[in-house]
Order: sequence, then C-alpha cells, then structure tokens
Amino acid sequence: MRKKIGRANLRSKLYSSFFWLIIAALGCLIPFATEWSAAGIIWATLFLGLAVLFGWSTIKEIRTGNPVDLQLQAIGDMVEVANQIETAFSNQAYRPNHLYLNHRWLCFGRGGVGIIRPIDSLIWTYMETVRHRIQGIIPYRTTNQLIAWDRTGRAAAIVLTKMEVESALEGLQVIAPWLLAGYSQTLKESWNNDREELIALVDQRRKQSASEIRSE
Amino acid sequence: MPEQPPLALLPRPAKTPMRSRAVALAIKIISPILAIYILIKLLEITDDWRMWFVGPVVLGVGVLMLYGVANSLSSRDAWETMQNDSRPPIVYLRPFRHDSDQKASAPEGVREGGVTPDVSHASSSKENEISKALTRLGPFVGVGRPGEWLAPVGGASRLYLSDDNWKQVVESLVRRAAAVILQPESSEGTVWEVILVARSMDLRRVLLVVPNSQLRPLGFARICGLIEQRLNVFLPSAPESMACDAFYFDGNLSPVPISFAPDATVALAPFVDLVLGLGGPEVGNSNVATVPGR
Repeated sequence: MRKKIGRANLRSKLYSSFFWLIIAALGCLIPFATEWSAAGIIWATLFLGLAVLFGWSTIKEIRTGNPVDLQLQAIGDMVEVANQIETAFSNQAYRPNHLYLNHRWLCFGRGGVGIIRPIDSLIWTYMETVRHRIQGIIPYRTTNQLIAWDRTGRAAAIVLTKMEVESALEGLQVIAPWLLAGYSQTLKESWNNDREELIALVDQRRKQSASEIRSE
Repeated sequence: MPEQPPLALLPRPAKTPMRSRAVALAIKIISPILAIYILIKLLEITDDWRMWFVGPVVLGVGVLMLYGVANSLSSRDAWETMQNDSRPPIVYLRPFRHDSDQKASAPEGVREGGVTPDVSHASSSKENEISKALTRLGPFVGVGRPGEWLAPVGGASRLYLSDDNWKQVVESLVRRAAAVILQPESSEGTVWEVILVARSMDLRRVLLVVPNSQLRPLGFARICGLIEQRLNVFLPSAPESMACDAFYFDGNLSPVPISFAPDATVALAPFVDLVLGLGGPEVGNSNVATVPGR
C-alpha cells in the first residue's frame, strides 16, 4: 500500500507540474514568434518565472515525502505502526479504492491519497453526498463519501458507492459503538463551536462502552 | 537591570478606529459620480455589449462597498451616543470573538482525500437583533475589539479602551446601566464580567445570551455550568420543543427562557417591559461625566 500510494502520489504531482512545464515551454517560444521584440522577451520572462515558481513548489511537495509515511509518523513510531497495520490486515492483499476496517484501524488508498486512522482517534462519521456542478451551476453527477472526523480536527473523506458507505458505517457502529454516527445540524454546530465538549462526550461514551463490555 | 514584563502584558493604549463624517460624506457623494464616469468611459472604449451588464454590476458592488466604509466612518462612538441620549445605557458584555461569529454550512476542518464541498458562511451574531429590540430602553453600548480599523455598523456603539483602564470603565458603566446584555464564556475577561454583574446588578436587569439549546446543547450546558458556578443561578434546561437563545429573570428572580426566532423584538418585549417597569438604576442618569477614563 505504502509503495503504491507513494508512487501514485509522485506521479500525480509530476503530471500536474507537466502542464505548467508545457505552458512555460510555449512561453519561451514567444520571443521567436515576435522576432525578439521587447514585449515578447517580457512575456517569456514572465512565463519562465511562473514555471520556476511551480517547479519549486512541486519539488517542495515531493520532498515532504510519502503521504502514508507522514500519516504513520503522526500516529507514532512509523515502523512500529506500519507493522501493526500490516499484521492487522495480513490476510488481505492491498486493493485501491477498498476500505480496510478492523477494531483498531481504518485504512484506504486511492491514487496518490492514503488514509490511515486509528479507530480510537475517530469522533464522528457520516455519509456525505456531493453534487458536482459544471461552473458551480449545472448539476451533472452525484458522489458519496464516508466522512470520518478525528480528534485533531482532520476529516478522512473516502469516496465510495452509497452501498459501500452504508455498510462501512454499519461496520463502524459494530466496531466502535461509541462513535457519533450520522449527520445533523446539532452535531455540525457542536463540532464547529463546542469541539472540546464533543470530544469529551465521545471519550465518555467510549469509557462507558468499554466498561459495559468488561462487565459482560 | 530589572526584568522587563513580557510584551503581551504591557498596558496597551486605546487605539480607536478611523472616524470622519466629512470623509464619509465625500465618499457617499463622490463614489456614485465616479462610478458613472468610469462606466461612460468604459462604454466609449469598448463596443462589447456585455459591458452594459457587467460594468454596472461591478461598479454597483464597488459603490456599495464604499458606502459600507462610509457608514463605518460616520458611525457614532459610544461616548457620543451616550451624550446624545441621556437615558442610562444598555451595556453589552461579550467575548470579542463573538463579533465575528460565523455559521458555516458544513463542518469545518482539514479534509484529506475525497471531494471538498463548497462551504458558505453567514453571520451568527445576535447583536443586531438585540440592538433593534432594545431601542426602547436606552443607548446600546459595548467595548470595541482592540485594533479595529473601522467600527462595526449596527448593533452596539463601541467604546475603545486601553488595557490598563478597561475594567474600571466597564465597572462604572455596569453600575449605571439600565440593563446588561451578558454573553458569558469561559475566557478570563468574560468571567470577570460575569462576576462583576453578579456583584453589582439587579438580576432582573440582566439578559443572559446563551448558545442555542437545540443547536448547541453542549455549549448551552457549558454556559449553564459557568452561570451556576459564578452567578449562583441554576438555569433550567429549555423545553425540547423550544430553542432557547437567552434568559431573563422575572420578578421572583426565576430565569425565563426565550427564543429569538422568529422575531427577537417580540421575544424580548417582556424583558424590555420588565426593565422599564423597574425605572432608572439607583446610580442616576448622568452616565458620561463621571465615567473614568473619559
């Protein structure tokens, strides 16, 4: 998973910079087309400047490293966490666009995007339906995604089919019954304005759930 | 060499926002004339028929924005408002961050992967609604957020205070206020204000603005806890059918929940009547001359 996502991530960054490289190359031809007029040279300089800027930002992004590594590092010791995930899903081969769920981890990879979340860090999950519009006006398709907000205020947005999202939400409710599930205006407002209290509430639900399991 | 206090702890002199009636008037007169002149020139330069639509819209928006600036420049500060209105003031106490409260259309935070939907924001401050509802009572004043370039338009007239005397001035204002609109929070300054109100105000003159009990039950519970701790008043949980936005205290000092929806003026009418029935505060009506720091 790590290698595939890393490679896809690198590829997508190179492709996006490729577009700007072509623009810059075309810009460099302007002086030839304008017989080296002053205006042509100014335009070419401007294009080259933009190309350098985008090239520099691409290199900077690439150097930030593999997105999976960055997430593993945020959780703890990278090698140790990677081993734990490897062991947890040892019986399943990595497939892109597939959600991997167990009692400890939520993992997903698609193209250059890798999402790894410890289940314990999750606070609120729900299905989000996004209506895509041309120029923000004409609707042309709808997609569904599983949203999982964690205690650091980051959301994992995982694009799946409606059925997959529904079954993932059901799975999460079995694995972590203490999780806040489903979208409501009250949860949205509480998340935006009273996040500390909301996280404390989930922690309390988790403790309660753990004590119930122990007593059983 | 004596140890210097950290920069943040040094008293900060009051910095007032820009105010000039003459400049505001000039902007209001010149900006539409300038917009029409620019539009005529643009139509002379280009034959593009789209300019007939795009030009007036863009310039119209520009003129409206300049009118907004002009309104800020010509707004009265709290001292002036209190001098022009001899009634005891209505003092608005809230954390500054509530001035820019925005209600987002979606949960906020960093997203990884997937599609990020468009999020729109709308002001969620109740200040303007409260201000309109309390016009019968007296001039509505509040402390301005330090560092503002332009005073906000609408709502409470602002007074800008330095770090070293704000408590003294607020205390003096609260003591002579006809009513206090208190929006409690757990920040240090606001807790001090809650304690001040508990110590020096008749509770019947206090309107407690709380987070909406239906939309933000956790915020509502936090503020109820704070009020119980500091004011020694137990706020009842609002009935489920009613979204509670504020409390006032009736003749028996029992908290009465009210909802600003659909009309804050109607919702606040019993509170206004109650305060009017109480008459002026005991301190008297001369609210400007003896306020320290003026």
